[in-house]
Amino acid sequence: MSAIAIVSSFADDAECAHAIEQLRVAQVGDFNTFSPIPSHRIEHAIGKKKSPVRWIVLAGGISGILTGLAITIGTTYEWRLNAGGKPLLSWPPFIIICFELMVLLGGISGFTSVLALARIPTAEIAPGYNGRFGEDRFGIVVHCDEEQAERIESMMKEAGAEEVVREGV
Amino acid sequence: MAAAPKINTEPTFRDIDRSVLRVMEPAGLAYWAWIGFCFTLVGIGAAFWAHQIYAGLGVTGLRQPVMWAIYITNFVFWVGIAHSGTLISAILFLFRTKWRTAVYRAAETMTIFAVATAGLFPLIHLGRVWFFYWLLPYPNERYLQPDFRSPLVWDAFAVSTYLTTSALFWTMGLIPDIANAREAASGWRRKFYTVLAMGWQGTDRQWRHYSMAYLLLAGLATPLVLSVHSVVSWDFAMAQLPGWHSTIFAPYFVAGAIFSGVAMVVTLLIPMRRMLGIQDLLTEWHFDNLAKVILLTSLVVTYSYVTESFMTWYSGDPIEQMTFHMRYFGPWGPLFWMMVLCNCLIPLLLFSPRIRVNLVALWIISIFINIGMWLERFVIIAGSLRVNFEPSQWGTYHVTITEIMITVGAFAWFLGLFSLFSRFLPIISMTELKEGIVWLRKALKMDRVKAA
Amino acid sequence: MKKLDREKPSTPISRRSFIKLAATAGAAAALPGCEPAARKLIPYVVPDENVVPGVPSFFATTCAECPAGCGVVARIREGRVVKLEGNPADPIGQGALCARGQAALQGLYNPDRLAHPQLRGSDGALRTVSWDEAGKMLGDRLTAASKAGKDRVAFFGSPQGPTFQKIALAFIGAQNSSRAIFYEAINQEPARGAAKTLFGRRDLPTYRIDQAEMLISFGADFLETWQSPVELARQYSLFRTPQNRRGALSIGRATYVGPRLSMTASKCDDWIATAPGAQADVAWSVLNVLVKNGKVSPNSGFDLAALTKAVANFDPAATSARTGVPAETITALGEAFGKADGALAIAGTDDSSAHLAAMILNSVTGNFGKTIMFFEGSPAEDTSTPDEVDAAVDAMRGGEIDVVFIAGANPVFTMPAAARIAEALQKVPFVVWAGGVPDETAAMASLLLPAHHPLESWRDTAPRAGVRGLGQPVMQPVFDSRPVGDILLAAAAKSSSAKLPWTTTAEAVKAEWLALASKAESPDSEDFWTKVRREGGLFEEQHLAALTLDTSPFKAAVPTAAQMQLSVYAYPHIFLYDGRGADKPWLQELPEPVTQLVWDSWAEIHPETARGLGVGKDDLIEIKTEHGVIEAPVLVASTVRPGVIAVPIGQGHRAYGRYAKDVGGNAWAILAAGATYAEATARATGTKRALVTPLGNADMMGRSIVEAMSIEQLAAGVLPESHEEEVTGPYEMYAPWKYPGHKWGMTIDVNACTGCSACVTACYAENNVPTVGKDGVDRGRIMSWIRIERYFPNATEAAEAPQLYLAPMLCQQCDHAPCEPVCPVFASYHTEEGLNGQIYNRCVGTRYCENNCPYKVRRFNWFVPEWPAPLNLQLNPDVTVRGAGVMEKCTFCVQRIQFAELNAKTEDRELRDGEIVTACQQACPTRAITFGDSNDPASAMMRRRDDNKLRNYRALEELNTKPAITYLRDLYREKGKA
Repeated sequence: MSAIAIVSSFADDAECAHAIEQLRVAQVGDFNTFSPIPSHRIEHAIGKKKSPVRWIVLAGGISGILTGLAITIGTTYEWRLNAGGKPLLSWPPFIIICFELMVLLGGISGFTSVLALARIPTAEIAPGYNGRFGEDRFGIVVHCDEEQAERIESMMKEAGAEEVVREGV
Repeated sequence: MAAAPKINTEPTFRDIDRSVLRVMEPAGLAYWAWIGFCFTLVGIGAAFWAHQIYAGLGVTGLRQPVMWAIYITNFVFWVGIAHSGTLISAILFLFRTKWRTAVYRAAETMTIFAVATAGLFPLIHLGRVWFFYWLLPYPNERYLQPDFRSPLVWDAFAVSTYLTTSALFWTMGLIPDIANAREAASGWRRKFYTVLAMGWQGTDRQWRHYSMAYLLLAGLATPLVLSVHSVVSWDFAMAQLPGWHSTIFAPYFVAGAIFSGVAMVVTLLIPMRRMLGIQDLLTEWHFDNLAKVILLTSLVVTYSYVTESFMTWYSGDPIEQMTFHMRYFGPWGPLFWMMVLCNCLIPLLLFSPRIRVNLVALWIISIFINIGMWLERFVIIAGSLRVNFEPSQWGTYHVTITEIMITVGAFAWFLGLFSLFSRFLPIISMTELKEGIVWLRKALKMDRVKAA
Repeated sequence: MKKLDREKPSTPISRRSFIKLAATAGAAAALPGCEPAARKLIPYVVPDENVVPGVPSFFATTCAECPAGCGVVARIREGRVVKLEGNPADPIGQGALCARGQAALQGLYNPDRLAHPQLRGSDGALRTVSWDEAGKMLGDRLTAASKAGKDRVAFFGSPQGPTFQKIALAFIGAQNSSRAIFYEAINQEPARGAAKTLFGRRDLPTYRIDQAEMLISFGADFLETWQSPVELARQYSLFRTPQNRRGALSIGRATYVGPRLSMTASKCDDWIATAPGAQADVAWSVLNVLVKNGKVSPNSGFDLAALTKAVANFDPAATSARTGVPAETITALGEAFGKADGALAIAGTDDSSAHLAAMILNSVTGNFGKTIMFFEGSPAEDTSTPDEVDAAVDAMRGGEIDVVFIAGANPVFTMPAAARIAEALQKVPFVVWAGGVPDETAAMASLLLPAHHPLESWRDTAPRAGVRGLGQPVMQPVFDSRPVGDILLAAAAKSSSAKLPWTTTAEAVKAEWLALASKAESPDSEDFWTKVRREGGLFEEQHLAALTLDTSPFKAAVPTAAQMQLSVYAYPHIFLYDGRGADKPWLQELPEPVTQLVWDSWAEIHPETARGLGVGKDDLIEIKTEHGVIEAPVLVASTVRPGVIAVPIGQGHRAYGRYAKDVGGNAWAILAAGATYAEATARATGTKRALVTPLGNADMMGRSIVEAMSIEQLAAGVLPESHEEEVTGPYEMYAPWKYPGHKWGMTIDVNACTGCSACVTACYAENNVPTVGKDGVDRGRIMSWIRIERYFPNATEAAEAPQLYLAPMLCQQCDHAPCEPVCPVFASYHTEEGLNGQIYNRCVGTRYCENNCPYKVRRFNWFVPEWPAPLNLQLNPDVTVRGAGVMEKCTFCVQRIQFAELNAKTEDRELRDGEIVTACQQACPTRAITFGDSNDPASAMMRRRDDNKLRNYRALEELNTKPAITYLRDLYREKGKA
């Protein structure tokens, strides 16, 4: 049961990523990171699989196309009006509508899925968060209990942490 | 605000944050005076619109056969302006263009407000604006829906999609930066940014989904931007009016849009850079690249003009030819040649590297281009309507005060919104600048070398 | 539906049908509008069972807008007249009605009509008085005047029919006076004079252009204002219809001799431009040719020697020297006239000489009784002779008259300056004026009395032998007015002890007509009375009069054409006539067919002359004659002979309501009595006044909008060069839309169209089309749904083409309507019956449809349209009044289609061909427009199309818009062919 959080900050993402690898080697799983920029190094180090956002966007896009077909064809047949002697099913214009709706719903679903998956908006501040992590420092917060603490702290220092702080929870 | 502290040629993340956040410190009287001025003009424009709604469109100079003129010109112009924003933020993002990072936030912001301005004009030009929603499909007791064959309905869909999608894209980009602002700010501003930042903390989980969504949104925005101006161009290409009915309109308009858009970015950034003291984030290197884009698109636009004229001659259609004859040599001929000067000839100066980085020259050129592109739309729209199939119905158009004031109001609306934004939200993306910091350093070095 | 069934018997089937008229006669008897007692328009508290909301009733009456006296049928909705149409039973109009006739409604509902009797105080200000007060004052004045001596009371008015004439004479008689003047500014004095000289009779002949194959008009604008335009236009279109004459397909050959290319001239083969007044010279010269060629028919009763002597001075060469008309032209004209099997010469000049020459031309070629005829029992002359008029005016000036009662004619405006009528009226102590809109004459009156509009009162007309029109009131009076006749009779009764035969006009008219019953076949007088009211008059056989030739006059003929450096030629405006049309916005906004100008008067000057005078377009010039001065903006056009300034008569009112006041200049002011031209000087005033026209570009640029072909091509069965390759079926991307049931279409014969614009006015009336005023037209906001296209042949065509292209342009109701798919909200769409529908309350006003309409026939409501009360009473309840911000356009009178279809349905039968008549088609004097079902090959419309295959064309066909309207090409005669 994790009683303490060890917050260590790094100057650049290379060291941060290195430290993360160390943690994983050491089978310490219960940690999370803060970074001012999206860093591929860190992402690889953590090694989680690709975000499911892409599937949600795909679904959104497809539903957009279907909606487009539904309203264009549907409304045309709801009241079969002759405009300029053109056939009821005038595909080319319908495709435009479908395309626009694909983009629209795809975009909306993309945005909303991020909010959902990244758990924002949120009011709670993750333990160990510090303004500088948004500015120019990369942080790792490891949740562990007393006996692991020493070992992890040293691990972080080796990895090149500028400072390592222990916070009670 | 204090004079910009010189960043050395090795800026750190912290330097970047400082110089960007400094812009967001409380503004002075001059700024508020400017904002006040803008929104006063907006108020006047709104009053004229109100009167137009009350009295009828007769207060404009519109007539048989020139049923569209200034309003639709403004619409196309502003939609065009919008495009460069998405181009820079999305397309160049996919191409991983290096110089984009410092420029894109401003460009994208311009996009949002340009679309917001453009969107006003289809409403302003409607005979019965209070029924504008009839252009959208919604369940109604009359079982009556829009005609999806009409380019105007495509417009309604394209423009609203464009506004929504680019707004989302823009918001996403802002979140991490606002989180930074939150940390730096105090008092009510801190609360304000705390709400806007939605509790962003830059954890690995957040970044993981964020990056993926950002990439996908960029992917969606790219075809969208191309589609939107194609659709706008089809408002004309789908009609059979000589001078409108042309298959090259879509690419021709898209190129023109990017051309005018980038020019507008330059027009806005050059003064902003000085006023906000961010010379060290927006370097000559950036403007040099923007200028290159302008030059390229200018050439594409010129090529389009030539093609259009050639096809007219080659078609051998006397009616089409008469329209173009009138466009070149008719009473409105000067407008056309002015347009050629602004869009085809003046931009050629940008072949010179020295002019590309001479910001004063570049700014003046960009102004010419804005004028030229506005004229292009006017010449195509009103100019073609004047000279139609039915000689007995030819007639010329004279602008009225109502149209002028509403147009001025629209420009003020755009500038006002943009100015407000520039002081309350990060006008330059700190996150991305940090990502591409190496390139910023290179750019700064180059500047210094030149300076020395 | 039920209501309709109940009303079935009184539901009219077709404007044309006799049954309808019969059925509504019952209502005629009972409608409150016919009771002179009723004086106010009041909403129905207790509905009148003869007035079914939504169901029109029709009343036959007569048109009073010009002396032609066409019969009209008034359409009444909820007790108010909303539309006037020709009376099919009337032999003159035969169901057609010109623009001026249509516009009578705006005279009736004119917002500036005098609402109450008014008295002019010593300070010159008017105050409203009651009818009793007015009547008493009038009575006293008359009593005093008639006591003071003989002939101290005068009546001065326009001819208003035989019965009215009797009333006026009775009135004047009762005043111990004989000064009753009936004044018509545009009178037929020269024609009467000629008839008098030649045949010793002063009545007017009747013409049959359609019986001729050659026509020469010496300055008679018979399609516009001369004598009986509707009737003559109809005859002329028959005359120009291709038919086999002596083995060859041909059209009648027409030549116009006169100073201006009038609309009439433009429809003729040749326009021989002469100085005004030189027509007589040419006419005599043509006669000279005939005489020389021995074309004088022996039994014409002419003494050849005398005739030869008479025309001695008019050898073509001599005439050519005087008039500048090439001798060979005259010779050719003479030969053709002699050869023609049926020829007619008519004259519209102000000198008797031309009329005389024309009459002799007709006589020597034996055309009397064929193309021109005098009938037994011509109606008594209805206008006073110039001498009588002068005498009366002199008497006034001499202070010999105490009371003058003026009704109509507006002498102060229409009489020549020389008559000094204004001055004369000032000498008259008590001037009474009775009329509608107070005019220049009313401005000089002491007592102003609101008179009934002809459509509100009983009246009759006698245009010619065998034709008597009966006018009945078609609705309740709009204002607090009274019939002039009643006012006169009442005044007479008050002021004198003389016994009057009647007390009201209604009584008088009925009495007069019952007197006719004896002549008519029906013995029962009440039946007769019903019949004549139902048919709108009494129309009987005419019998040729035996003519006795008086061959004395021929010595008289001497060259008359005075040589003038610069002359001004004033012609009656086709729509404003002598000025009486100027108070009607429809007519003011109707473009004059040749100049296409509106809301102004102008000085038409040939480019050469303009250069000579150093004036250009829109320069305001001052034209001065010995009689007066007029200012007008210059219109530089080659439609007038060099050395001549042509100005329209009819504008220049200084009173006469908001629409007429201060518009243009009054051309009467620069003319001598009875003259149409005068020697003039012109100088630029240095200022400009822009002439306003809805016309953009006068050059058609060879586009297929109005097309023409020569009769020779038609005879040879070849298409005009530009169309030699037959149009092959255009490529179809989609399967064509199916139209089961009806598919409405139209066939328009451009050759028959004269450009008279009756269709345009009919459309304004039927479809509640608003007028926009001079500024509106100038700003390109004219609202006309149908317009007359006028194009000049360009230089290359000119040698061959007609003088002008004139054709109606309206919504083509395209199958592939470009306006439809661009509308975002389906406001513009295609109906199951092939109409291009426009749903006003769905329209959001994007105006995209008009941008995409190649024919530019859609009209946008820039402002909320206005009809100052009571003009709004004329609005057709069957048609939506459009608000600001919506697009509107021609719908082939969809309301009429619906009406007929509903009738067919309630009567459970098929729709009949010809049952639906669009407003434009109904009004057309030449029947150029045919409407019908293109799914029915037997329909008149399709037959007209198919019978003239070679002349078929569609406007801008290459756009593949598939118009539902097919035009028939205009026909012209290749120049230099006999």
